[in-house]
Amino acid sequence: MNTVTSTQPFIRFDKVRKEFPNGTIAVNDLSLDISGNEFFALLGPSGCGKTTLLRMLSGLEMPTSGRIWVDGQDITDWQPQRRPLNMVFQSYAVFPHMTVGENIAYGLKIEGRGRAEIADEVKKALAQVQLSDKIDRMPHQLSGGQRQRVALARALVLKPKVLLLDEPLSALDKRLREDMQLGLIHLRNEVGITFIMVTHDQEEAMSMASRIAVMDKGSIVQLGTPRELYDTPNSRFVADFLGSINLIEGTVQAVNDKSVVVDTAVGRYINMADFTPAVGDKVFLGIRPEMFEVNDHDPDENRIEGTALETAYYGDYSLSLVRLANGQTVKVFIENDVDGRNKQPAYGSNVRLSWSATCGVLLP
Amino acid sequence: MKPKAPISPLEYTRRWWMRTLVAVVLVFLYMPIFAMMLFSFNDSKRTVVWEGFSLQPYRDLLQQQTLLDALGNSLVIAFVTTVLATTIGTMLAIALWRFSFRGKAVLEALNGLPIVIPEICMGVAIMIFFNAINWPKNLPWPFSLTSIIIAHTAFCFPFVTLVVRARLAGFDRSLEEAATDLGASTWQVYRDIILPYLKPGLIAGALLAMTLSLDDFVITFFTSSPETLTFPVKIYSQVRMSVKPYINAASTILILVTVAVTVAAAWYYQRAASRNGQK
Amino acid sequence: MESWKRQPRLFSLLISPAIIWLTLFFIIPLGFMVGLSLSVQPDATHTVFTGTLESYYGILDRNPDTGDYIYIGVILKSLMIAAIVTFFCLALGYPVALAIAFAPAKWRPILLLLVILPFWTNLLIRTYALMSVFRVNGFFNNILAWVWNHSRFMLLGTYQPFDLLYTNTAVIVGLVYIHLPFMVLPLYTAVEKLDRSYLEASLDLGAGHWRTFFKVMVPLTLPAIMAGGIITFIPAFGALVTPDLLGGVNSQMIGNIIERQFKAANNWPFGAALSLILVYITFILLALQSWMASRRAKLDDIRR
Repeated sequence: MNTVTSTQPFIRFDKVRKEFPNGTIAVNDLSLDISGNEFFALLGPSGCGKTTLLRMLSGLEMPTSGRIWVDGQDITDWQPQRRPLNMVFQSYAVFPHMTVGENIAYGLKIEGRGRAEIADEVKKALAQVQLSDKIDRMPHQLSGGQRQRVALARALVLKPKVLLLDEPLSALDKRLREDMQLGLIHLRNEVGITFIMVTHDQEEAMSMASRIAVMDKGSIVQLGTPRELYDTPNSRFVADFLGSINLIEGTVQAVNDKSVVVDTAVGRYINMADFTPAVGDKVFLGIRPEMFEVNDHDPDENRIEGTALETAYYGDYSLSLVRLANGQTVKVFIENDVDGRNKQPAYGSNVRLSWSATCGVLLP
Repeated sequence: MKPKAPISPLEYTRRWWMRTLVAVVLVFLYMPIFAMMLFSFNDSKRTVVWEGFSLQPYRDLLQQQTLLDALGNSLVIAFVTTVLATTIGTMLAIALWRFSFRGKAVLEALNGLPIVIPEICMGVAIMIFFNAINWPKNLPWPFSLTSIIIAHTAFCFPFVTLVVRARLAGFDRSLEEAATDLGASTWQVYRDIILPYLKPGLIAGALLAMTLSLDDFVITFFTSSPETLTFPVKIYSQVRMSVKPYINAASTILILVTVAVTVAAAWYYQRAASRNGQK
Repeated sequence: MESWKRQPRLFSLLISPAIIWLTLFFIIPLGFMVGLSLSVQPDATHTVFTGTLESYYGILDRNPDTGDYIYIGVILKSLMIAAIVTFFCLALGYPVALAIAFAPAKWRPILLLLVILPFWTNLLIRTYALMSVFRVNGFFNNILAWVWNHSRFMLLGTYQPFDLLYTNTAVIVGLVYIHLPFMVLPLYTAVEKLDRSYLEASLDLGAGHWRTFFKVMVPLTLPAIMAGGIITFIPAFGALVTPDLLGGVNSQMIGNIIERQFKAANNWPFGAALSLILVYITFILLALQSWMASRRAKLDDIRR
């Protein structure tokens, strides 16, 4: 039945499928392994199935087929109240008719703990999220960020094996979001269990998670660390989803040992490749805005000429739009130097963009 | 055949015990009515033993002049009451929605009283009132119905106010502001913007008033006289004496008419409401 | 919302018919009723206002044989029946409201219509239909008799019909039958509006469905429960038709007693006094409801 080996992952999705009565396939025979001590993110556009997957893990949805294992146990048929996981909902779902303390004590009372023990645990949980003085407040008297912390405390006080977070930062404003990002990372390290986060915001996923699964249309497109996904995306979808990328369409001219020569409408370029295309294949050259050098090149590098259009100023950096010879525009990242030298190209001026063969990425 | 998806925790309606319960309740609610309707086609002088299909009860019904007169009274009363109650109730609803004034809470509470107070109290009070002011008792028809109409209107229009106010709550004031900005006068705004929006609410309110008036027994019981019987009051006196099939027939007709009108109005309300962009 | 002074003519136009009607045909009649309750009735057709409390004292009359309070007894019995009816309407109505609220979206209007439709049917017709069911010679007994006679139970002797009509049970069943649809509507609205994630959170934290129901769903839908309870209790309390047709002499409620004062017994001041007691009790219940609502709001402030 449940054969537990030491190499078994902590959480395993085994060909999990979710079909809705109206025919939509939300999760398409997905398999995934997650370890017991990481910050994991499910990232993707809305409708990709990430939330459905999370809800199947929590027990609020039942898979149409497939099995789910947690810590060696097959929990697929378990009711949510029985599962050793807890979830922080997107709306936080803090019970409005109970005080903060009663909210946190809710799960403990169900477990049948004694009154003194419950009071003690509640106090510790509140201290962990820095809300000790709010124990007798009602939820409507708290701010959104405070309510979220109550939801966190309420879930963590039950010592779940995994904590699930549904779009945890979407409702917070920018300043609070940054604080919360760091706060959650710190909390996870303290508690030591796996956090699984669902988000559509790639910045969130990249800054917080140690591994990310990028999903689209019910399947995982690529799984890896933020670095892997950013530097070596396996598809245009992933490349465009994490950070921004400029894509130049071209045809494969020649395939060398480690690099590929690509013919495009604006020139011929050499680039490294992770996969081996055939000559004549259509590929995309992907160059991240920060990979371009402006008007400052090494003769070995790839070069493109273009006309500078608008530039947006962001304080520590600027983004320029450059029009290429074939009419396509690319985004160029320009760091604004400490010594204040303004490198932004003037509107309408000619610019020369260059990048090295190792900086771009070839995409099918 | 595709295997059925497993039931998720909150899908209560898919659980068998829930479905059984709802089925039992629906059977409980409809069985007596269906049985009674069925026996309106019974070929017998009594109503509880089935003796064959027949339309005789319906033919008998046409012979019952007093019953038909009572039905006529009910319809006239309902019609006039609907017109009055809808008008008064709608005007009040608009005033409550739009304006703030001293004593508003009192008026709202007062308007809610006819809805909450037991019908018998209202019936008794109105009867006492008409008696005390010596309301003329032998007016020619249809003026003899005025006391009933007045009483019906009094207890119907608060319901209309309720319904219309609910509809008004969803009104987008910016539509009105746009119209004023384009030069419309107050009267034009009401005629061209607010009233059309209100139409589904008016229909619902009018339907409610009509049904309440047609069905009313208690208040009518106290304000009617032997010359001004309404349909429910007449049935009441018949039912206490003996059980006759033509009563089933009359009831069946009334049920079918009420259902048809209700369903039509509900369908119309849905269509009109969604066409206006509100739901 | 603007002040009425912005458009005084429009405002007066809109509001006067309602105010006139309410005053003339509701408040003044109630006033007359109060006056009548303080009058005496020297002969069959006249009453004289004297300010006497004789009718109110009459409420405290006792039965000469048994010593029971006649009228207080009936009032208490009516309150009791109304409470039982409200309880059953809640017990049956809440699951039905749940079933509709959690049904697929396209089924909900249909199910709702199905449950509400009987409410649109004439009260008298519905009660009459129930009478046919309950009679000794009625459907309930006839069907059971048929089943009995065609099954093994026949060996236990011929079927003894239940005498359901003219009992308290019949009145209670009848009142539940009449009021159930009206209880479902506010409950359905409240459950449908409830944020599902509260229920999901409760399950996620380990609570079973019953606990989630009583600790989360009920408290969060309490205003609707109270509203539905009030619009069931008060009409049930003052019911006239149902206890008359289904209860007969055995189970009179306060409505029947009042009706008799104005028809057969011809004691109008007493009838007025009894009606006013009904009105007072209604007011007390409404005040109770609004007190409870404001108490909940106050508790929040205290915890600030």
